[in-house]
Amino acid sequence: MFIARSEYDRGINTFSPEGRLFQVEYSLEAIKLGSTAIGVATSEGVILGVEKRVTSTLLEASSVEKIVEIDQHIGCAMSGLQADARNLVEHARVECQNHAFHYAEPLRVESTTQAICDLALRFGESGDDEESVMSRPFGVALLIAGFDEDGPQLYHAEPSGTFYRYDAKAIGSGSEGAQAELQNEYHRSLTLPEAESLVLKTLKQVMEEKLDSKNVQLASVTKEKGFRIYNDEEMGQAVAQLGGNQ
Amino acid sequence: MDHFPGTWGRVGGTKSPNLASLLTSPQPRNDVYGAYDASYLQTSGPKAHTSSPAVTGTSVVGVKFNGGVAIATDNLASYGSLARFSDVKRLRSFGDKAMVGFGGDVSDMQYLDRLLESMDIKENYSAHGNMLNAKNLHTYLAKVFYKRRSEFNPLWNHVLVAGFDGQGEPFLSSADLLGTTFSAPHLATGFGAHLAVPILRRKFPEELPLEEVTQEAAVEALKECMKVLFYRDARSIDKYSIAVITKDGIDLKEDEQIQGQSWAFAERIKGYGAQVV
Amino acid sequence: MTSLIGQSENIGYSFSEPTSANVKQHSFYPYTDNGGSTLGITGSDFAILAGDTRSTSGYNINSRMVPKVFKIGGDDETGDGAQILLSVVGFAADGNALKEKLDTVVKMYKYQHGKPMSVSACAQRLSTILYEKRFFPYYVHAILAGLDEEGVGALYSYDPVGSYEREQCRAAGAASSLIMPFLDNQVNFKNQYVPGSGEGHALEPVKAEPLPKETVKALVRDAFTSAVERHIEVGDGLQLMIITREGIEEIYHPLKKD
Repeated sequence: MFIARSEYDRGINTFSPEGRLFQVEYSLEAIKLGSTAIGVATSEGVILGVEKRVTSTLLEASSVEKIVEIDQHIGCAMSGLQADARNLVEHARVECQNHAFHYAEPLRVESTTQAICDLALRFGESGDDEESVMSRPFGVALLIAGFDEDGPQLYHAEPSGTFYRYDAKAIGSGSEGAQAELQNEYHRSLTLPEAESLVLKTLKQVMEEKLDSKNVQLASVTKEKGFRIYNDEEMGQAVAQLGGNQ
Repeated sequence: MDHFPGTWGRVGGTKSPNLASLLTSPQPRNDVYGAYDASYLQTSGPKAHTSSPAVTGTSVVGVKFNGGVAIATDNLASYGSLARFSDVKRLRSFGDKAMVGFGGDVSDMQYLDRLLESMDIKENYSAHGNMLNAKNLHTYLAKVFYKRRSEFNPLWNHVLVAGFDGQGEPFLSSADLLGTTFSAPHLATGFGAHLAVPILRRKFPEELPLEEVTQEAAVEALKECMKVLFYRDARSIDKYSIAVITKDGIDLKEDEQIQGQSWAFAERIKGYGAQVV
Repeated sequence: MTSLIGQSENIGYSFSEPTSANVKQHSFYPYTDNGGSTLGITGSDFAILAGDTRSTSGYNINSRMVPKVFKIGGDDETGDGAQILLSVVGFAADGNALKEKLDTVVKMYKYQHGKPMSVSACAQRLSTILYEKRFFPYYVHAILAGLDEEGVGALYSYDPVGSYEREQCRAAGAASSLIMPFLDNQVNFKNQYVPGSGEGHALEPVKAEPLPKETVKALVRDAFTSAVERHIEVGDGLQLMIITREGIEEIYHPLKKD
């Protein structure tokens, strides 16, 4: 990879003779360094889970925010550069509020994802009368979970601006192992509690630290309650349940 | 006249200036109007938009017939009540199948004519030539008018657009300085709306299908309208332009004279102005 | 007569002229009223929007055939596939601009979100479009019609700056003050009481219920034929659009042309 570095590395939007955009590809590499995040969609709702990587006992675990709300019915988990994710999330939040203001209805999950990807692709040189854009691709990938008239949905959005819908998806450093696990364990009749334990179980397998209620975070999206981040008590219960199962 | 704008158009003083003094200094001519007010020549200050038209053209009259449209205007441009220019062409062609008849401000007409001319030239560079029909042109003009009125900088015109629509049917439609648009088998702007429309309506009732309106009848009707307008519109003249748009192209006559005038009726008019008996 | 000589402002006209040379304040007024009236009524499974087809400027009739009711979000020219109706009355140029803007917004919405816009969403969007021009308003009274999520007739009426509410029926435009009281009585049964249901003023009001389509069509025609009699800006033709689950039906009735 690094041997292939050439003058095509310099221009953000310059294709290499092989038809590659190096900077975009590097940004995908940045995500592989990030903490693992997992999403599982069921017919009842979507579960998001992330590992928090609490690197020090002096670190306040609750300040590590890797799952955030976009709107009442949509939330997302991130892996990669968190600061970049803030920009994307802020953009998505504004789009959701704008839509609600203009149309008196929630923005669809796919449209929200599209809005995020629109921003993700706005890098490189800006034109004369264009607003200034990012000088590089965003170094973060998002798992976007939401509920709309089409039911619960899970999307994966990349810095390249592409997005796909998934039944279950893992991103970040442990994504390869986690995705294989999800591939084996996922089935369409999964209940929400089953999805919750699948997410935790998979995280546990790929995490370097020992999983506890402080170094992971869960969230759910359901029709009834919309997007919710698990509080300490619920996290404690979920982790305890996992211990009991195994 | 001399070379000092400040003195132009002002009644001269007691002595007539000699050539030598004309070339050296402006002649003070303050005895009649007082000191020259230089504030009128200022170039700074707020930007002023048109708030009323200056040199204007009066009515435009148009009528659809079986296979085309006929449209007419007189050749006068007035400055208030002054008949300022008596040979002004107010029918302008766009491509070879559409005409625009302009009423209202003449300088705005010339601006729009240049706009349409450049559009026609640009269109002609395309592979198929200028494919824009009268309906396209009318939509465009109405948007220009509406945009300018929305900027509080109106183009002071009321126009009729004549030609064909996308289906090849005869097309006649109106657009004005506010961007208001409407269409009818016969239309007239300004004074014509009062005087010409009733004539056209009597000759070509609404129930009458367009197939039964001949080109000759349409042209005759327009000539009749132009005559009545000349009789009763004080800002009109007896020279006019008339265009007939058919599938074969535009037949434009720009130097027509109103025929068969009879002012006998004028003898019988009493009770206006100073004449009371 | 000598007093007139030397006064540059006062020339001896036989009629009186203002003697003081007032500074003429002539500013451009960007609006006009093109007259006409519109009317919308809903039922349990349909909505009707109607408008006359006359366009006026002052006492002039511009044209006898200028529609005020439009299909929104359908194909160009034909309007096929539209599920929303809009009527605009007031300043026709603003009405057209508003119609075209809403039409593109509804079309873009379908491209961007992969579903047709609901009437309630369109109603909110129309409100924001109008309010965006709060300080240079679209000088129109708009009425939006369609079917709601349950398939029930939905009607939203607006003021020129975007205030709106959902109603059973609404008349707008020049003859609205003539038509609306008629509608209050015939659609919402105002001032109608059950005979013999009580003494004096303690009568029981007749309960308003959604009317059948044919009844509503007849009401609309009656409302307009009556308005034509009493309002000079209303006449020439009546354009009716009826939206049901099956689609949009368009009807034209001639009105008096006087």
